[in-house]
This record gives sequence, structure tokens and C-alpha cells, in this order.
Amino acid sequence: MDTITFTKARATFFRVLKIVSYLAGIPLLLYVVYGDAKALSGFGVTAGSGMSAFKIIALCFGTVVALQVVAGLLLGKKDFFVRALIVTIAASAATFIPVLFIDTTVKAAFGEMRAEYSTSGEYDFERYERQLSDYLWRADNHEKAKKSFLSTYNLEGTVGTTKGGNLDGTPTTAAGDKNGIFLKGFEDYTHYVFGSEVGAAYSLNGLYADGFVFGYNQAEYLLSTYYKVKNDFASRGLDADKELKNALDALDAGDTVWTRYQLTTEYLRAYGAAPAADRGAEKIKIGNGEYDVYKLFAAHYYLTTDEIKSILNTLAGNLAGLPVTGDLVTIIEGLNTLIGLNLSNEVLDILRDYRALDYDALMKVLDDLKIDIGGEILNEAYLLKFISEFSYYQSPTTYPKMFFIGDSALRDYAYAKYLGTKHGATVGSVLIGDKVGAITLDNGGSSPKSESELTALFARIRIESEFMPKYYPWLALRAGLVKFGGIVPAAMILAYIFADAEKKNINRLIAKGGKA
Amino acid sequence: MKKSTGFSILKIIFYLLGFPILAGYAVYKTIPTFTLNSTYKPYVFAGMLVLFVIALLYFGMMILTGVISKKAKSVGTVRRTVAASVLISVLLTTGIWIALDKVVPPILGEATQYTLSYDDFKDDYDEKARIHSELLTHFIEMNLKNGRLSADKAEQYFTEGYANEEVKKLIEASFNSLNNDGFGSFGGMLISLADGSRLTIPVLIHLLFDERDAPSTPFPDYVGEGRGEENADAPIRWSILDIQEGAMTFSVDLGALGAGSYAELIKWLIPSLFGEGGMVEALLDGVESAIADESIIGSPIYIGIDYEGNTITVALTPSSESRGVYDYKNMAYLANNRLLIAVTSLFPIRTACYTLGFVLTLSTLVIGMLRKKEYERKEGGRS
Repeated sequence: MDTITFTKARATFFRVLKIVSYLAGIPLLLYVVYGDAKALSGFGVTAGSGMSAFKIIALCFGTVVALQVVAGLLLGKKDFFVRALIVTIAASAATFIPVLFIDTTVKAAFGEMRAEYSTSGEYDFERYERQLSDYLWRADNHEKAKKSFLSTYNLEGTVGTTKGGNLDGTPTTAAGDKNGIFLKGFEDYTHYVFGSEVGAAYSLNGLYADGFVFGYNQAEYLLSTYYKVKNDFASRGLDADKELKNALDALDAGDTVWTRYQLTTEYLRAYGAAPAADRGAEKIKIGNGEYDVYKLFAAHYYLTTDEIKSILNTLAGNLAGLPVTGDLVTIIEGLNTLIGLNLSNEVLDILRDYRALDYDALMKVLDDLKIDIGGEILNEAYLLKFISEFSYYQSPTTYPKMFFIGDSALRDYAYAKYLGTKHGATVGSVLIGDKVGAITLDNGGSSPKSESELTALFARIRIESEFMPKYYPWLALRAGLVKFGGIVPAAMILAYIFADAEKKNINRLIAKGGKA
Repeated sequence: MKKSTGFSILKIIFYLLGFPILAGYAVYKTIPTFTLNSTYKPYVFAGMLVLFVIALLYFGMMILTGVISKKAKSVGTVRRTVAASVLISVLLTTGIWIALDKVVPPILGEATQYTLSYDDFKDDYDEKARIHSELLTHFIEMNLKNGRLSADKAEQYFTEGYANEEVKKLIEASFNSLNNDGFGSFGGMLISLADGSRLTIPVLIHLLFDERDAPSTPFPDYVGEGRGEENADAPIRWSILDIQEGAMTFSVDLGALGAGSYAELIKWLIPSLFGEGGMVEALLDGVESAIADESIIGSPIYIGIDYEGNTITVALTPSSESRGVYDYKNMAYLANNRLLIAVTSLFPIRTACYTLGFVLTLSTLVIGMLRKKEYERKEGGRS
């Protein structure tokens, strides 16, 4: 091999080493921190701040690279050693100073939080040194705990979601938006909104919009309120449910704010006589919008007693067309004597002539059967109550009865209970009851979490949601810096050495008449 | 043989090895879509149209670069035209589809309310073509059975498919009725909840019993020849079960009602009640006709009851099949089949471009090299 070729090969060799050394320094560090930051931002709790670890390191080393360029320009090519020294010192500082900062500031903050939560006992705050190595695992666990809660109660993310607006077409608003629907004469009763969490959609009456499905925030507020009031009453030897029933009954007795409210145009529009007008014939202004009066009538959205009677009458009327005649009577009469149903002669006559069955006759049969359901007898009242449990509609343009409860804690409790049961049952997120979550035709719901489990979970989610996004990006940054603390300056020095070696070989090559 | 003739022959060979192979493969991949949906002309040709446009652009580009190469003043220009033609051939095959893979999915999602995704078609287009073909075939079968189409013309309906005016009219009218007096008549909130995993009992009751606008869209009961005065096209009401796909089933566990209670009684009664011509069958007939009554739901729902062990399973089947329509989603697909088939026909071209695009790129490169050689030979001869 001639000397020119050999020198050229050596120059290329050092050029390769220079590039490899350079890449093993800052670019590799940036890549590693980017990976850690990306992993951290993959968890919901640190999604917003996870990448800041990368942004900080990119800024630090962007400054180092800028310094490298400036040093090159100011010092020229001759002061190779000085340039190498300056850049290496800068790279070391960019690695060391953040670690020092994290190990003092963040560590101190963790110490304070550990002391605070250890005193309150609401959260087991792990030591700084421990969290340094398992912060990703902790962020993942936070996510899993929250997801398990969301799944049990069939919730929609953190802030909930609105599946369509209100059934009657009235607008949904942000919390606290009164929109001027409340009437004069009730000034003592200011507009009330249950909770005011970001993301919830409310009806004009301050309840959640018909199609609003709770998220974590609403479920946490609702369940916390429910148990807090319940426990406060219990500590005074009172039963919150009984107190609530008494308070609601009192509102019906005599001339009360509730009975007066029921006489207002606003209330009668939703719950008074059925509107005679055709759809769209009469409009009214509510706030800034114009609405079809016909659609505001609440009974369009639930089964009234008359409708239930009509349906049962139609069903009974259709029995007249049955092709069989004897079976029903034979079976019922047989059972009457066989297992002692004790049906009265009147009811047996009705059944014998079942072609003429109607609602009233059916109710008589039901009364006679004396069917026991969990201690209550299945009769007309029970049946109508049962149906109304499933077919119920609270007009979004009127305040519910519970709005007028004087005791604010009891009112909170009433709202929490109503929303956690009735609203939840409609949107498939029951929060309070023996079975919770999605209760549908083919899904019986999940077992609820206990109060103590919920308290611990809510505290954990709240505390971790505060400190994890704030401090975990620093831990991710520290992890990368510690791994590469020694490598970056060394890699930079090597890159300069190999650059110098490459340059020398190129100079030799030129001197020998070769081309670089 | 002269050397220039040799170059020309070689170029022709590579022209034949390039685009024709790609186009031939694309046409071959399109055959199932075309044969299954041939009655949807001209929509089924959408893919072929794209292929034709690619062909025009490719050959136009090749002619242009050929002319530039011939008139070039330096070999550098020829080299640049070769690079440009290779690059353009890549853009015309894989490039276009990489761009469409980015642009089309959100458009398709939005157009179908996210009931169909790009991924559904991408590699499974033959199956999509089969499903969309079957949608039409079964629609004709349902409506021959219920008499909305004339049984005398069955063969003609199947042969002409969507091209048959009566079939086309029936699809449009049926979908409009289901859309306006079914899907559109429910509150958006209820449909949103029902569509997810949130079809709760209260939502179902709302959907079944809430007051809705009276039906107003004509629903033809016969569209065949000899349509008489009695065919009134009266609007009809659709229930939520007509909107949903398949029967709704739910189970009642008698064991959960408690031992020794009425559960035992029901269990004791069941053998004598069930069975052909038994009480239950007769009773259900009565309930079904009551449900169809305008004062209740106004749309027939067929109730089936099955008993096994301690569990009674109730299946509610909508009237849509007997009325000759699909559930809302499939009916919407059928009503928009021509567009979906146009979309489906694009995917065989996509597959061909992705898999055999390299053949066109290579042949373009070889043709370019031959042009360069030809130019150098010509220039060499001159100098």
C-alpha cells in the first residue's frame, strides 16, 4: 500500500472515530432522555409534563453546542486544546448542575411531603431514593388504580363526556351559568350547581345534562360528598336517608317554597297540563335561545300513570285474541287449590272471563296474589313506583324538589344520591348501590368499592396527581444524566482528539500531494 | 441489426415489463370486486379510473423526459431526466398511496360516522366487496319474500341488481323511512348512549316509549309493475330494535328470585306453558300485536322465550327483516353502496402499486439508462 493511500485510510479511520465519539456523547444522551421522557408522558398523570425532561436537557446541551460553535469561531482552529477544554467543562456543567439541583431541591420537596403525609396518614409517601429508581413503575401503578376505578363505575376518563345534550333540546352550560331561568320571588334561593368540576356539562337547572356521563372528577366529588354527609349525620346519631326523607316530606306540607314554585309558569310548562300546541307552534326565549314549548313538557319523556294504564289495557285487550281458552283458567284454578293461592271469587271470575281483562281488573288480580317482593307486597302502587324508577325524567328547565332543601349539607347529599343513582342508572354509570357501573339488560353491574377503599384511592389519586407531574420529569432527567454523566465529557474529549488526529493526517496527505 | 434498433427494442421490452405488468396485476386483483358488484356501474370502475390516470401521467412523463433526453445538450441533463423519471414513477405508485393512507382514513371515518375504518378495507377489500354484494342480494330476497318486489321478476332483479330502477327506488325509499322515522326521530343523546355500552333499562324505556314525531316519510309496500291504487306508501314507525343490529336478548335468572318463592312456581308451570301451541306462544302473539299498536310502540317486535335450567332467556327481534330492511347501519351502507364500492375498488390498485411498484421503478431506471447509453453513443459518433 503506498503512503498516500495509507495516510488517506488513517484520516478516514480517525474521521469515523470522531463521528462515533461525538454520537456517543450528547446525541446518545438526548436519545436516552427522550426515551425516558416519552415513557413518562405515556402515563395519563404525567402526560402533560413528561416531555419537559427532554426539553430541559435539549436546552442545556443546545447551549453546549452553541458554545462549541462560538469557541470555534472566536478561538480559531489553532487553539484546539483550549476549545476542547471549554466545551468539555461546559458539557460537564450541563450534566452535573441539573443533578445537583435535583438532588437538593426535589429531594427536599420529597422529604417535606413524606413528613406531611406521614403525619396526616392519608398517603404512604415513599422515600426519594426509592422513587428515583421506580418512578416509571409508580406512574404506571397510578394509571392502573385509576383505570380500575373508571372500569368499576363505567366512567368516561377524567372529566367525563356528554353523549348528546338534553332530551328536550335545551342547552347545556358550563358550571354556574345561571342563564336567567330562575324566577322572581325566590331570591333567597340562589342558583345551585352540584360540584363545579372542569369538563362537566350542566342543564339550566344546575343538574348534569341528561346525556352527561361522569368522569373521575365527578365520581370522586359525588362519592366523597355522599360519604362525608352520611358520616357527619351518623356522628350526630342521625340517619342521613331518614333526614332527607323528612326534609322532602316537609316541603310538601302546606304552603312551602316548593309548593309555591310548583305554581310558577316555569314549573307548569314542564309539569302542568299537556301543551295543546303542536310541535314548533309556540316558542319561548330562555337566555339567548328560543325553544319549542311543546318539547319542554317533561311527560313526553317518561311513562305517566295514564300511559302505563293505557299500555296495560292494550296488552290486556289483545289477550282477547288468544286462541287458547281453557288453559289459563284451568291452571289458575288448579293452583288456587293446589298451593293455596287463596284467590277471591271475584278474581277467579275475572280470570275466567280474561278476555275482558283491563287495567283495573289486572290490579285486582295483583292485589289478590299478594306477591311478596323483599318484604313489600306487589300491588298497584309498587308496580307504578317500580316502572317510574326506570321511566323518570327531571326537566332541565325546572329546579328539582331537592333544590329547596334548607340544610345545605343535606341538599348536597340529596343531589349526590340522586345523581349517583337515577342519573347514573340512565347513563350506565351507577355510583351508589349494591351494584354499580353499567347496569343494562345483559349486564348486572359491578360490586362497589368500600368507603375505606374509596377514601384511600381518592387521596392517593389526588396527591399523586399533584406531585408526579411536577417532579417526575426531573427524576427522568436525572436518570439520563446519571447514566451519561461521565460518558458525555469523555466522548467530547475523544471527539476532539480524533478530530485533531484526522486533521493531522489530512495535512500529511496534502503535503504528499494527495487529495483529502 | 443496427445498434439504435437494438436500443429501441430493449426499451420496448422494458416498457412492456413495467406498467403493463403493474396494470395487469391491478386488474387481476380487481376481478372479485368487479364481478361481485358489476351492477354498480360506473362506481365499480373508480379504481380503474385511478389506474388510467396513473397510466396517463406515467406515459406522459416518459414521453416528455424522452424528448428532453434526445434534445439534451449534455449527458448531465440526460442523467437528471433519468433521476426525475425514476422519482416520479415512485411517486405515482407508492407515493400517491402513502399520501392517501394519511389523508383518506379521517375522511372515510367521518363519512361513515366511524362505523367503517380505512383498515377495514385496506387488506380485506375482497371480503368487503362480498359483504356489499350480499347486502344487495339479501335485500332483494327479503323484499321478494314480503312482496314489496314482484316475484315474477325475481331473476331480472338479481341480474340487474342496483341497475334495476325498482330495486334502486326501494333501497332509497326504505332507507329514507328508517332514517327519518327511525334513527332521526330519537334524541341524539339516547342514540349515543344506546350505541355505546350504555343501553340501560331507562334508556331503553325512553327509546321505546318517549313521544316522537309522527312518521312522515312514505314507505312503499310495493314497487313492482302493476302497482295498484291500494299501495298507499303509508309512513310507518320504527322502534329502536329496528335501528340496532340483531335481536336483543337478556336473561332472567329464576334462582336469583329466591328459593321457595314464585320462582319455583314459574319453574313448575313452564313445561305446561311452553311448547308448540302452548300458553306462552299464544300469550306472546297477543303481546306482539299489542306492541305493534300505535298507542304502545307502533312497530312489531317478535318475542322469543327460551328456558334452560334456572334461566329464562328472552329474545326481542325487530320487524325490520319482515318489513324488508336491515338495521340502520347496514341499511345506510346499502343506501350508500355505490360510494362504498367505489372506495372498495381503489384498494386492489393500492395493493398492486405497493407490491409491484418496484417493477415500474426498475423498468423506468433501465429505460433511463438505455436512453443515456443511446445519448452517449450518439454524442460519441458526433465527436
